[in-house]
Amino acid sequence: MAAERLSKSLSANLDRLRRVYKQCDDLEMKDWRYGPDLKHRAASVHFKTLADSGTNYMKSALQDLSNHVIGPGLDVTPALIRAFFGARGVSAESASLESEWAAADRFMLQGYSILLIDGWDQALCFESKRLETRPVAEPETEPVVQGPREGTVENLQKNVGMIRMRLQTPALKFQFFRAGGHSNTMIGYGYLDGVVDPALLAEFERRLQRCKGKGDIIDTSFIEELIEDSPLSPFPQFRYTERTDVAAASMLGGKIVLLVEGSGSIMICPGLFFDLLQSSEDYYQRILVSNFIRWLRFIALLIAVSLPSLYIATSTFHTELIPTVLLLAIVDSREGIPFGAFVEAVIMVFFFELLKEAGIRLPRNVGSAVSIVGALVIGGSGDQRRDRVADHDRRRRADGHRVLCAAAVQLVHRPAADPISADGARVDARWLRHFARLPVHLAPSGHPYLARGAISDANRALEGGSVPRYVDSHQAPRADPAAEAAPFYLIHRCGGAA
Amino acid sequence: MIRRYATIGRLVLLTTLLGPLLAGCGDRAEIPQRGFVMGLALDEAPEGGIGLTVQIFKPSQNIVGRGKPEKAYINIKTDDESVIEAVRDITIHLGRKAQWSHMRIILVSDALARKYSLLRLLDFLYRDHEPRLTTHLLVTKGEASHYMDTAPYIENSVSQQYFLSEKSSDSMTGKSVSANLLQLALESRSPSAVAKLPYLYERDSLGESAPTVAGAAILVDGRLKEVVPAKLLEGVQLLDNGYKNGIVEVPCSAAPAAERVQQEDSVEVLSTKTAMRVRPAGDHVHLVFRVKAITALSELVCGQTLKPKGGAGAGAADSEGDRADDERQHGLAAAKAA
Repeated sequence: MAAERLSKSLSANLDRLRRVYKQCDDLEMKDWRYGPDLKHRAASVHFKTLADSGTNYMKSALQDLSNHVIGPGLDVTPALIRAFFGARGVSAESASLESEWAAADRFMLQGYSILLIDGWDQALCFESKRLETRPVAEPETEPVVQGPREGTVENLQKNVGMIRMRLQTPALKFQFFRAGGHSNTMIGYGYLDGVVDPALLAEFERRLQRCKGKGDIIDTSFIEELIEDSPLSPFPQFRYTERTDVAAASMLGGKIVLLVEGSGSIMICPGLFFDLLQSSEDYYQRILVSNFIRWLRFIALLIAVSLPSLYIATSTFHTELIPTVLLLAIVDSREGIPFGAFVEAVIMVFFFELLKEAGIRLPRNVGSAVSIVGALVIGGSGDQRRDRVADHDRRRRADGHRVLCAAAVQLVHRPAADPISADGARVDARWLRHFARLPVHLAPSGHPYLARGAISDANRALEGGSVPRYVDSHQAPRADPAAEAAPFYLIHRCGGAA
Repeated sequence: MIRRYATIGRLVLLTTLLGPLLAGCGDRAEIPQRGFVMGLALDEAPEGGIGLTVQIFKPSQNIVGRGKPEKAYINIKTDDESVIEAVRDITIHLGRKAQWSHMRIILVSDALARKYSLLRLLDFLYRDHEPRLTTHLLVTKGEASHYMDTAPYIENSVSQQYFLSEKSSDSMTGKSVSANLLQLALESRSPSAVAKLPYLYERDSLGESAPTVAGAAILVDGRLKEVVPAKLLEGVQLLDNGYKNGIVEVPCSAAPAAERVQQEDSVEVLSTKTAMRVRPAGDHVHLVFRVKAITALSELVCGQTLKPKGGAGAGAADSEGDRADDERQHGLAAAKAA
């Protein structure tokens, strides 16, 4: 089937657009008239949700051809426009000419404005994309103490630009293609020519062929699933980063990076298992320090993988191996638990995963209250198990105070960058009232309870195991001016007569 | 691909077969199903049997920091014809399987130790896989089970207290020895067949009886022969090259005739080294001991006015110790001859 071409008739072209883009209410078509006696017709078409509506490209095009400085372009004729733009005359706004609908559609969907001139079977496409984007910021998942703080954004051009800024060499190659499908995402991959292993690059490109035409790629991880070695393996087979400096450093190490328009994660291929233990800061620390920290991570990995199973093995089968004093402490804590070590460990891991998931998914306002209660559930589980046989009422009241003070501490220690809103504090208070069953009050910012001394006193008393006393507002030291400025809220009455 | 799956299949099969063996599933018991033996006391029982007192750790049921702390152990007494029979009887009372691996201490009453060879008495502990050969032993003055009923000072069981005081008494005062099951067996099987065990007795302190680990029980062929008191044991330890650290008394004056030789100063011994030489003299032999001790002078009450000692904070004081220990040498010889 031959590609659909633009018609010479403006009406036919506009009809075609109305037919294809029916029910796309954000498509804006504007009719213009120009030339002597305003007898010539033209139209500009763009998506007002994608394109910048501030610039009138018709006006700009006419201005290019007009002899006088500013005016309605009464002396411009369609022939003049055809001749000028057809011959790639220098215009104020760069435009490309398309004669096929497929190309024109694509430009329009990317936020270009299209200018259709009656009597001309070409579309003038001006780049006018304007979307609100996130500014470049330090990625939350990969913070560093030392080193650059630039993270990726959702714009492929900007991301590639940041990488190219770090590797200023013609050997840095970046190739782009579109995946097709509904998303028609732009995908780019880059490497350092001469550093990357050619066989690796050939294999990568061979696998990447699978993505072409597959379409509907929203994120880099979609491509991972298409090109990875073993889809059933639980281990990640590529390394991801949101830092362009890490991408640049790994390219210097012979890796290939892959980016996707609309996603900030950069995939680094091939991913070795030990690459996953690498941190971006390893590049910026001195050799001894970064080696020490990397070994620390290896040890942490071993502990994470083996500690629960080691605990089960030694406590159930080889109690001889546990040092006596430690064993006695374990015996003390295990007494009265109805489950075996294995079941206990499984339950622990399950609840840990559950709380982790809840912590990520819950809205922040609800989440903070839940995580406080969750931490208390896990931390106090040993005590709570015995709650049933112990002094019920007294203990519950004490726990209530603990919940309360933990919340107060949490609210005050919240970083300044993440101030809690009044609504959030109210939600927290509601949750705490429900869990602690004690009257909880909100104090406005600048209240004397926000003073550091009062809070740390409460903390110290809490750590010492006693219920913190109610701090009298007259005796409390003056509020910290910094704390006053921040919109903090405090849930007070940390204690009272127990 | 098929070959790879076959390899994986074989590995899985092998692990499944070996797994139960490696994991020691036969020994499986949750911690709350076991009773951890902290100490063992052996006594004479009526009708020639053996009385066994087992101290078992009792996990605390009360909430940490609230309520009155209960005692962290229980004592179970059984008696039967042999140790193994008495041991099995523990389960009747306790209802949990006794776990011997963390036993801190074994107490044997002096009466029982005079009657039986300890090697034969403790044969069960030597043969069974659970008790460790590094478990320490004490000989008690009077009934051993009585010492198990004493309330501990700081530790959560009195067994742990005996274990710690035995070790520190040996290493820091030199007034006791330290011995475990393995050392007992090695010493008893040595040509002289003489073994030393620490001695536990009660001393009156402020109207209360305080358990004290000091002195040593001398065993010959595994049977108790003699008890060396703490005062004498220091010398024995010095001669035996077993003195580690402690306070010894030295005469104020080096001149044997001096008046003040009757008075003593104390020095802290930091380390000692003893060499013994045998010298034939006519129809008998002399044992010549040469003791070299590094000492620290930390209290010079006696010598400070008469003989100011020049500056040395720590020095070699070998010849003084030599003469002072002469008479103690006979004590050891007597013990060896017995």
